Amino acid sequence: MVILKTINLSKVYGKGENKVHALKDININVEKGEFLAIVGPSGSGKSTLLHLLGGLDKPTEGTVEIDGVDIYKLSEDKLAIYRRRNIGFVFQQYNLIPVLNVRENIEMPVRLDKKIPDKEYIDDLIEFLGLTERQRHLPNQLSGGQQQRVAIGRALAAKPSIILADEPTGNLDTKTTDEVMNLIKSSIKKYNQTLVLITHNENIAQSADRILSIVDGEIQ
Amino acid sequence: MNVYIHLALAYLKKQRGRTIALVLGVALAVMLVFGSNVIFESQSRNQLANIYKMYGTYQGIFTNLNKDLTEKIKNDKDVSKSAVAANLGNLVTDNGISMILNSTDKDYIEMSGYTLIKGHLPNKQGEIVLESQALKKMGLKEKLGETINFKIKKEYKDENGLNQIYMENKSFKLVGILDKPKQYYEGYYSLRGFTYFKEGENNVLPDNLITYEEIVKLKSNANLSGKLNQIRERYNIGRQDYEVNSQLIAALNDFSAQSTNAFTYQFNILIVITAILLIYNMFNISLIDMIKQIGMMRAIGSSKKQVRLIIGFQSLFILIIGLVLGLLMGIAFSYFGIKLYSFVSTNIDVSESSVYISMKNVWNAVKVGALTVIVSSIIPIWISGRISSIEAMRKSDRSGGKQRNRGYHKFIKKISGITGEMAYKNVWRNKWRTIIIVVSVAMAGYLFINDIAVVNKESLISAMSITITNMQDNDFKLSFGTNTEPYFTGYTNDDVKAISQIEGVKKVGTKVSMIGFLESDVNDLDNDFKKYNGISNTNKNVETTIEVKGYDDDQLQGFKKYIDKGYMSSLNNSSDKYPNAVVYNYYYDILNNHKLEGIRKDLNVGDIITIRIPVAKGDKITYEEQNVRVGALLKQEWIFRGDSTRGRYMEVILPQKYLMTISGKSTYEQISVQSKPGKDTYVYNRINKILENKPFAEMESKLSYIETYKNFGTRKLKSDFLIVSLILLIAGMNVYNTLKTNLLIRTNEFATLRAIGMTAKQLKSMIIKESIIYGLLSSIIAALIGGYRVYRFYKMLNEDYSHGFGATHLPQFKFPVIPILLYSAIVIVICILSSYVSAKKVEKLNIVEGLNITE
Ligand SMILES: Nc1ncnc2c1ncn2[C@@H]1O[C@H](COP(=O)(O)OP(=O)(O)OP(=O)(O)O)[C@@H](O)[C@H]1O
Ligand SMILES: [Mg+2]
Repeated sequence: MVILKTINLSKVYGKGENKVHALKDININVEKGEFLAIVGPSGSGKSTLLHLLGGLDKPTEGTVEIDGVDIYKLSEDKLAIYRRRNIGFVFQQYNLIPVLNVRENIEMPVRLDKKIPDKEYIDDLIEFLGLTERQRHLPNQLSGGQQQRVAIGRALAAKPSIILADEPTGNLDTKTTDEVMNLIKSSIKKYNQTLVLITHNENIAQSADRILSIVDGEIQ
Repeated sequence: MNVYIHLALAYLKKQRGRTIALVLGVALAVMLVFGSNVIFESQSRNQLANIYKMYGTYQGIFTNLNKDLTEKIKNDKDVSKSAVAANLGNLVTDNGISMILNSTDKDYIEMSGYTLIKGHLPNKQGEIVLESQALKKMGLKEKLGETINFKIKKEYKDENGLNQIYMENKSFKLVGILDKPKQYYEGYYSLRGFTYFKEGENNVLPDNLITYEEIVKLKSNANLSGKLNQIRERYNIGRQDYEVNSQLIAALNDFSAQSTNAFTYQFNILIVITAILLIYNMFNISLIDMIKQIGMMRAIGSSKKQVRLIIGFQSLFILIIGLVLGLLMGIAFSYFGIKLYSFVSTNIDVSESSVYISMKNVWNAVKVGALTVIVSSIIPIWISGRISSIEAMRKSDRSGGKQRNRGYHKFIKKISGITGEMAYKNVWRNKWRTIIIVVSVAMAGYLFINDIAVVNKESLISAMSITITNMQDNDFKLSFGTNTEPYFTGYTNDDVKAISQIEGVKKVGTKVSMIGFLESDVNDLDNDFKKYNGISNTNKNVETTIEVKGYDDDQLQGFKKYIDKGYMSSLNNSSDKYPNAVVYNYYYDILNNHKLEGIRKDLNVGDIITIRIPVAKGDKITYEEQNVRVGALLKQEWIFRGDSTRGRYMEVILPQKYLMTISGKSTYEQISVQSKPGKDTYVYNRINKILENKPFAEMESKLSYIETYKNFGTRKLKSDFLIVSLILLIAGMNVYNTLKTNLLIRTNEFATLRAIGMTAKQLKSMIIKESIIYGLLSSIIAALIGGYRVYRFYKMLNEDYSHGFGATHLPQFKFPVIPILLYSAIVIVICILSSYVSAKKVEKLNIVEGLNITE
């Protein structure tokens, strides 16, 4: 079953002289439960694609459908609500909220949805991430690997069907990279989630169900 | 060096909004300090010039002196100039006008501020000069050479120390006319005439009745009232024989005040502090922007000193521009402010003063501007030399420090949801920056809350003003001014009838009163009282001045509540051997300790006292002895709420009919009128008609007293609100720029929040809630300081009035809820407006672009 689908997706940045064709006519299908790795040289348009898949930016042309819904037909607010319920993001820079502690950061998408977080589930999640001892700590009191685990926790908190990760291990050493990847992989197995992940790491790419290679905004 | 100046200017240019805020902050502070000083100096110059013309140049007057004493005062160590004139009694006309008659002394006339507008000063027996105003009141034309008939009345003490009245007919030839500015005659004044007088050769008064008056000017203008009172005490001159030229002293005090009076000084401080908070904050924020560049410069070899030079040069630049702008704005402010505000102490109209700019004031403003900039930039300059510490600072800016989960967190979570909770946490990201803007916005609350709570509150006005409380329930009190002779003026029964018949008049009361004397054994008098009145122990029997009076029954009923001991009804008791009297046995020391004190020691109900009251026989008046029994004593509070002499004399109330019979008086000194609600103005106009042909008839009106107070209050409100808006303007710039920066450095975070599913609406609501929290915090601080100030005001009021006047039932402190709510509303609106533009921008944020901004 196809959960994520793009049709003739294009993105152009800038105008005239400064025009950059970041994505050209991308057509991909991602199956539910699939782990798709995106690889490609720097500046090839990987992040641009991921952002469009997650509804963070507007495509110049083409559509993105999730579960058959054309997400760019949704209003700004509906799209935001859609994101917090169905998509979990993990970024290379972790992007945690500095004033919130570990638990609060993780609960954030649920709280934004004006729901009371399911305490048991969050407890499980924090334990699963190995952060039980650290749940009252602020992000700046954590190591990079710990921070990325918090970010993963945040991406999982609302039990989204899709995880979009942009070089989640880009800032981590080999050992931590393995830990973080194991977490992500066991999570998607546990919750039957779809994962789209950008990486420069050959090993990670090899462990994916499918590898998508992008060069100059085009699928190779 | 050049490269640093270049860099400094480049940053100022790049951060244009902040630079404008900085310059405006300095300029507004300079403008206010400079402008208010210029206005004050110009107005006080103008005031003094006017006062000299109206009230003369003398500072104090001593009366009832003998020749020796005039010499002593003249040679006193503190006196620089004095003039002496003989007091030849009062000139009394047929229609009851009374004016002081002095001997001609050129210095005396000059120092008193008179100008001779016609004729010459008397140089022969029987010649006289009079004030133009006196002739007008007497209904005479200003015709020189005219002979005018008067009675001469002189109060004197005979060889036994008893007060007596000398009264004879006497005519004078008018040889000159004196005048003073019109404004002078609109206020309180006493008329004088000057005649030719040479000791030993005079035929005005018997020589032994002549006393002297001396007016003096002191060597130093410092502590004038105190110094004058010391002279009075030095020569044992009684309170009743001494007066200061109070208007002149107030004007001189204003004039010699360093730059401004305490009143405006307080504002200047408030504004300078607000400006300092603004500038400090702006420089600190600049540092955040410049941190990378500074780090880079240090890396390529700039010294700490060189880095500090950049900020140093920026502050110098801002100071210079701010000063120039501030001085120019200050001049503009002076021109319009001089008409709008009155910073001087007297009621003289100074709105037409010409703007006077002294170097002293320019220099003062420069100092204030420089101080403001130096104080506020010294810390940022120092920090800029230590980049590592800046980095630490920035770090702390990005995190919340230690996490505490207090009870109120949960509370905030509950009432304001996730966005409110986030907002609350964000507010405390940079504690100092938050505290600074919160305090700067709260600053004006101190004035605002106090003013709204206290100024022009009707209940307070009528409780605080002794002129108003002394009106009791009356709307009008009709009396005669100082320039009349009570035995030849007064309100007749016909007047009373005419007034009673005016539509809208509810009640009319009458009062007969006269100045008399109390006979006492010198040992029965309170010691302080004796000292105060210059009474020595040489004579065993002394006479002290009292007011003897009688009221109609209705008014007496109203005065019952002021009875301390005995009964008001004793006045109606005819079975006693002596008539009963109600006595007020206190005087108010207005010169030294400002307190009510007793006059006769151990005076009790049932005591018999001897008084002397003036009795009219034919066209002569003599004092006659009368024993009365103390039937009741009045409470201290009488001075404050009763129909009192305000503590000038002991008061003896006798049955009205009895008093009129024994004194031979058939008219009333005072009529009190209560009008029906809403009829005041009509009644006022009608009474005025009746008073038209009584030259010195005066009408006090409760309404106009309240009006006067309110005008004063409005004047204060006007200048206070100017300050409040200036402070809020400066503080608003601070909030605006700070919030803008706070939001700017969090762009990446906002993008993240949007990415994980925060809607644009939620984001905006979080930012607006943040600014509301700033407003609420400011309101809390303002409420605390404003509330405290109001509390202190009430405390002082209660202490002063209960100690000073024995007043009870004074208004009590109530927490100023409404003023605080008003101020909170203003402050919250300012905070919301300050963040609104930035919030709008954040709302439109492109998520991907925001995510790409990492630093
Ligand atoms: N906001 C923007 N404005 C203009 N050009 C942009 C913008 N964002 C990205 N680009 C350009 O689009 C192209 C694709 O960028 P993108 O970030 O998707 O590359 P990437 O594959 O993620 O590279 P990397 O591996 O370095 O992260 C690049 O050439 C980039 O310069
Ligand atoms: Mg990328």
